[in-house]
Amino acid sequence: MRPSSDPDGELVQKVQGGDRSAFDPLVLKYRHRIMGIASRILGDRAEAEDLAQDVFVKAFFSLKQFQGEALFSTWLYRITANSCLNHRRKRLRDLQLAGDLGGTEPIHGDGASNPHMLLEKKEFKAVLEKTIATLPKERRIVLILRDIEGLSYDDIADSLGLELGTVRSRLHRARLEIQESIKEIFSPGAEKKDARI
Amino acid sequence: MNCQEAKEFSSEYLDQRLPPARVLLLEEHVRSCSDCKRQIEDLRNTVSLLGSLDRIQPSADFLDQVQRKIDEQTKPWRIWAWMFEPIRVKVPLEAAALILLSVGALHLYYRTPELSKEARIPRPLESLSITRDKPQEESVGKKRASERRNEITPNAPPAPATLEPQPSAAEARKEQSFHAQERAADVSRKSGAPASPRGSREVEEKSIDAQGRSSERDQIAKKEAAGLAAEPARAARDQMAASTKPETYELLTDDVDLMGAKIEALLPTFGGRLLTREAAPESRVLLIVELPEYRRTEFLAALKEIDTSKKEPDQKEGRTGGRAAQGSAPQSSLRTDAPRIRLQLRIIPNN
Repeated sequence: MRPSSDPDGELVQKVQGGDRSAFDPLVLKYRHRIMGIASRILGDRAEAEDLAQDVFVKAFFSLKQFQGEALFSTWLYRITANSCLNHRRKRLRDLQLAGDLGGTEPIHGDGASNPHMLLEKKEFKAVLEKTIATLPKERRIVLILRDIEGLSYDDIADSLGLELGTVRSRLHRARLEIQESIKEIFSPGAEKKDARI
Repeated sequence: MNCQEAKEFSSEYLDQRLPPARVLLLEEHVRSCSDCKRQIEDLRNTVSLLGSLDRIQPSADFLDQVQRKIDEQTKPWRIWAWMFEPIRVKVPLEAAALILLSVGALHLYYRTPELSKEARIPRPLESLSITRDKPQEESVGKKRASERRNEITPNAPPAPATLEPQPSAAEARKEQSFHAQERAADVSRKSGAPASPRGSREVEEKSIDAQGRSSERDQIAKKEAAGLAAEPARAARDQMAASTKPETYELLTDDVDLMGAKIEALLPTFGGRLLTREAAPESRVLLIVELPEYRRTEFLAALKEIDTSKKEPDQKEGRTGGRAAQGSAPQSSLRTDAPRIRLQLRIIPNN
């Protein structure tokens, strides 16, 4: 039974009825998010775009089996997560940027700078992205879905097939790891405290 | 709530997922613990930074690429769907159409004799031979002369047809009857007038008989002429037949003249006619006949059945009724629009 609150329900029904043109608005709506997830999980833009296109193709041909047991968006994220996690596991290991970079080079700030102002620096953005890429994939995807793409805990749990407690735990750990990596930016010279639980 | 619990619930607190009671406990603890307060603030900043990262833009032709990939995977199925879907409707209709086409094609095939005959693989005629009793498939060279009776062999390569202007059979018969009359008149003159009643009667009988035969021949000639006049399409057909080289067959027989006469009598039965008859060296006779192409095989088969071992009473009198041959030849309706061919028959005495 399709959730009554699915904003994409009408378009999905049209596509299932044979109206192929109804799939285009769905692609346009979710392409950024799918692209963002794939890009940050795979760490390679070209590869991520190709995978993101394949995600939509898979979704198109699988729509006949989609019974509406979840939101279309949740279902789409599930396809994305599975595709990303299955894609080139070896390549994901190669993208352990911490080792390649000889360790993450912290950007030293003066402590008084607004972190958001720091984001305007391309270098900081690149470091943050690479820091995200160093996370273990199970935590990385939860962090991306929640803090970058804005999905709810329930959507994340549905998309990844996880329990809510697992989502909560992985998210908290991922945040703490990111926090440790950029701690020097907020408070240079401060002692690194083991904040991990 | 202690510091460990406060840190544990900090993410949920920031995401507003803690139940109200725990929120109160955590806030109360944070008010009294600066370390936990700082931790929560740092975490809040981290989450804020992550949420502010640039949105990764897909390429401008992202949608087109998706559509192209869908097309690549659906193209074979589109053809299938166009041909067979809905299955319950299209498959029975297409099967019925296929059956109807097959039945129609078979119906046309069997209703059109030309097609049926053309579809048959013709037997090589050089392997056939005609004998008095039974057909033997031996080469001409291997047969003894006594056995080479009524043998018909196609001559390869076919000799060019000698289609010199020859008087038609009707004209020849007219001429013959005229000569017969002349001879009768000479006899009466020479014998003087009046000859003996018997002699004159004999002469008259001969004359009357000759006249009877000539009138009979005239009637045949008239029929032929009428036939020619009535069938203008036949002229065109004849012209086409004349433009092609006639097939040549050699017939070995004991009685060349009889064979020729029987062939001549047989021809009308197959819708054919004798075009020319000419004598050839070594007591041979050359006939050029014309008949519908689709009757060729039957005609040649009928030639095999011609028996020249005994003369028919009507043959002795010189009549060319060909009734014996007619009795053995299959009677069938003539198709006036069928293509015609010419055969060159060399009747060779079986020495």
